[in-house]
This record gives sequence, C-alpha cells and structure tokens, in this order.
Amino acid sequence: MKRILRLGAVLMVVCAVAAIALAYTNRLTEPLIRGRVAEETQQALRELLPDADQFAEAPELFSRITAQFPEIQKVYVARTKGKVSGVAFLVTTTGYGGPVTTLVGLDEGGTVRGIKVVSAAKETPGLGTQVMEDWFQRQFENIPLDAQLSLVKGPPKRAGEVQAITSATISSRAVVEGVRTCREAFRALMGR
Amino acid sequence: MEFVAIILGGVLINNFVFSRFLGICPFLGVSQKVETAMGMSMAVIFVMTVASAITWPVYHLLLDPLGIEYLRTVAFILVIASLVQFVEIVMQKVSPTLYQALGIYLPLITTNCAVLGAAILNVQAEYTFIQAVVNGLAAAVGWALAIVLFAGIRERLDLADVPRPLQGFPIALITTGLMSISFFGFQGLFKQLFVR
Amino acid sequence: MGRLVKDFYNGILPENPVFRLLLGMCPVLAVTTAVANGFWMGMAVIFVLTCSNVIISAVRPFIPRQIRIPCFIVVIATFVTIVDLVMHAFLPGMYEILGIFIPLIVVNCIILARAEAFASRNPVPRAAADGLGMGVGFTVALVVIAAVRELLGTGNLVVAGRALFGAGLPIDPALVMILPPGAFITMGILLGALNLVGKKKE
Repeated sequence: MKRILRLGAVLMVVCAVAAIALAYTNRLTEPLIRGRVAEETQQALRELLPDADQFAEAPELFSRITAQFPEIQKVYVARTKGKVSGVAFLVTTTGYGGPVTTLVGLDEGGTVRGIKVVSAAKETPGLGTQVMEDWFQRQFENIPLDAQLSLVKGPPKRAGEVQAITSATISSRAVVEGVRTCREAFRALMGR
Repeated sequence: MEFVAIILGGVLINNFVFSRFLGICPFLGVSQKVETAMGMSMAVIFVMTVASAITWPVYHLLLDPLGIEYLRTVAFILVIASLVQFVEIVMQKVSPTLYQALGIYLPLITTNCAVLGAAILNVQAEYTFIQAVVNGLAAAVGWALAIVLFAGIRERLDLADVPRPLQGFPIALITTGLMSISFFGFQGLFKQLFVR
Repeated sequence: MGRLVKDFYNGILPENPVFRLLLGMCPVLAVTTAVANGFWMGMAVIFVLTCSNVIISAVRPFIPRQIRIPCFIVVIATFVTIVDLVMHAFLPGMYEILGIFIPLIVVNCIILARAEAFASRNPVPRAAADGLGMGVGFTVALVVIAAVRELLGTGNLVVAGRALFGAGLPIDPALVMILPPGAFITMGILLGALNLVGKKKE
C-alpha cells in the first residue's frame, strides 16, 4: 500500500511540474499567437482595400448573416476618413484535401476588389496550393456584382470568368465558391 | 448522409495508411501474416473507437471549459496509455480467449500514432460525440482494411523473386506505394457522390 | 569527450533512426513533400529528443522502475507541447503545414525508444549527445527524402525561400512523387539503394 502511494506521489509530482511548465509557456506564446493573427489580417485587409484607412470587425453584421452563410467566419468593415467604403469577409470552403480559407474584399458597390487565400495547407503541394499564387488571385480583382462568376478551363473570355488551375479544379472551385458566397452575403446585407 | 460521408471518408478516401500516413510503424511491423494482421486490426478497431469516445468528453467537458486546451497532447496520450492498460486487465479477467488472441498487440497500440491521431483529428474537425465515435471507428476500419490487404500481398511476396537489395522493407514500401496509388482512385468519389 | 562524439555520430550513420532502425516512419513519409517542411520537422524532433533525453537522464535516480514509462511519456508530451506552442507563435505557416504531425511527435517511436534504451541508463552529457545525434540523423534523412521528392515532383528545390534552379529543371515533373504514393516509393527505393551500397562495401 505504502509503495503504491509513493508511486502515485512521484507520478503526481511529474505531472504537476509538466503542467506548470506548460502553463508558463502558454502564457508567453498565447498573446504572440493572437497578436500575429490580428496583425496578418490587418495587413491583408490593407492590401485588398488600399483606399480604406481603417478596418474593424463587425460582429453585428456577422450575426445577421451567419445562419444563412455558415461558411463565413468573420466580417470586417472598411472605412475611408470615417465613411464606410467597403466590406471584407473571411470565408472557409472545402477544397481537395481540406478547408480553404479566403479573405474577400468588396467595395461599397459590391465589386470584388481583391482576394487573398489565407490558408490552403491541406491542398496538394505544387498543385492545389497554387490558389495562393498571385496570378490566380489577381483574376478576382474588379469583378462587378452583376457579372456572373464562373470557373472555366482555359483563358477567361469575359468579366467574371476565372481560369481554373490545371489539374487542381477542385481547389480552384473552392476559392470561387468562397467568393460567390461572399457576394451573396453582401447582397443579403444590402437587401438587394 | 453525413455519417455515410464520414465512414466513406475514413475508410477509403482519407485512409489512415495510404493518404494520412498514420500508424505506419505497426502497418509495416505486424503485416507479415494475414492472421497477425487480423489480430492487430481487431485490437486497433476496439481501442481506437473507445479512445475516440473517451477523449471527446476529456476535451469538450474538461480541457475546453477550463481554458487549458494546451494540455491536450499530454492529457490524450495519458488517457490512451491508461485505456490500453485497462483494456488489457479487463480482457484478461473477462475473456482469457480474447486476451490470448489480442493480448500481445495491446501494448503496441499506445505508440500507434493512428489512435492519438484520430483523437486529435476529431477535435480539429469539431465533431459531435457521435460523429467522433463514428469517425474513430471508420478510420480504424480503414486502417484494418489496409493492413489485411497488405499482409495478403506480403505473404505472396515472400515467394516472389525480389532483387536482393530490395528484399524486406524496401519492397514492402514500394508495394504500399502502389496500393496507395490505387486508393487514390477513391479521391474523386466523395465529390461525385455528395457535392452535386 | 571522444565517447560523446561517438554517441553523437552513432545516430547520424551507424544507427540512423530512419534508414537503419526504420523508426518514426509516419512523419518521415508525411512531411517530406518539400525540403523546408522536412527541415523544420527535423528541428522540432531534435529539440524534443535532446530535451527529453536530458531531463529523463537527470531525474532517473528518482523515478521508480514500475512507473518509468508513464513518466517518460509525460516528459516527452510536455516538450512536444512546448514545440507546438512555440511553432504556432513564431512559424505559423510551417505550423499549419506540419499540422497534426507536431503533436504526434509524442508517439514517435524514436523518442520513447531512446528514452528507454539510452537516456534512462546513461549520464546527462551522454544522453544529450545521443539525443542530438539521433535528432540530427532524423533531420538529415528527412531532408534527403524531401529533396528527392521535391526535385522529381516539382522540378525544383526551394531552400530558405529561394528556388535553386531558377525557372525549374527542364524535366516534366512527376507529380506522383509529392503525392502520398511517392513517399512510399521514394523511401523504398532509397532503402534498396542503401542496401546495395552497403553490400558493395562489405
């Protein structure tokens, strides 16, 4: 009996020391992790909507659309000199290997100003991960709200057409679906 | 519908061995004979399903509410290690026959990364309790399918004329690669069945 | 001193954990799609292996034999979590790519095997040398496999964010090499090649 108690005590001391060490590490890294995410998002938002000077998360807008558009994770409102000049959505859709998360910026008229694929870590390296490359993301710039958004194989012929990445159609489609969802969400918010 | 998706995904599309690379050590280690592969499979299916069922409340009712999610890895591995010990003791008492068949595989399961992997994937996918258990079971069945098929091939491979430098592990790995290619055919299945 | 060098060197060639002992295969196959991924996975393993070896060797007089394995597991899991948190904070991109294989270092057979077979029986400096050597051996193996796969699979090598061959080699990349099947096939052929070289030497 005494022996079992001794074993238990040793094991408990080991676990306690481990828990304290981890609690301490977590206290050091947690603010860094949070801070970095916020910083990166701000940076990306500035790139997507360069005219705006201030970006703020808009939980009240988010709560209005989250039931209808569960893919949307966050809504940001962009302001230029205090006046609302655009909106950005963080949207997660399903790609080939897992989630693809995209930040989509629209101006006040609903024109897509730009997109940034924030994460596509589970897509096939070298193929699906091309959705993060500039040439692919550029295609979404300045697509007006009334243009039909579609994914095509081969070079695009009209506004709203996006060329799919060769042998990575599903990853490309995930991004297009994400942008489409954001446009629908914009319409819902504006009541159009 | 959603369970069909989880099951197909776990068994065929995201097969633990061929596409997620989980549980490779025992996959290569205990696949010389179909019979031992079957024994190991049964043990893994059992432990992985129970582990999924136990780690879910540990995370969602204990770690998450207390704000100590960072202890996830430590907590899960301790739970799994104790679970394996516990199963071993109970099995020995309740069913000596079953213990004789599966007993030798149980200690190996603690370091089978498929079990911990399934538990962590359940958390990451934000599954509900039932989904997590189904996912654990499906992933284990997928692992079992892989190792039993592989053991069948390996039994025949023993009789084949393999170039000397490739004998043993090298040819086993190349065989796994070829099986992985054929499992790749399932990749489109999910999209065809469910997305449209 | 000579002994420490020998302990260190032992993990790199004579008992390379990947090529000789075939331990910890899951991350070896999973993260070797690019040299950078293999390198950072190796760094994480070096840290965990060295630290856990040192701690286990240092506390070994106080740990009763019957509960040594649970204690080892707790020590290893603690260092794995530290790596997990630190990588999440400082290398978020790499953290996402390596994903589940960071927490899974805890069940990597190399680490528990070295704790049990070496660190729990030897003094701290030797345990440190062994951990470092095994870790470096693991990293070298990962980088070699990743280099083969990345080169054949994408036609280029990216080191420290720079492509080594400009626009890429004039070959048609064999995509299968960076997909899961390529991992198994590369590993099998590399092992076969090592056997061939080993035979010639004898």
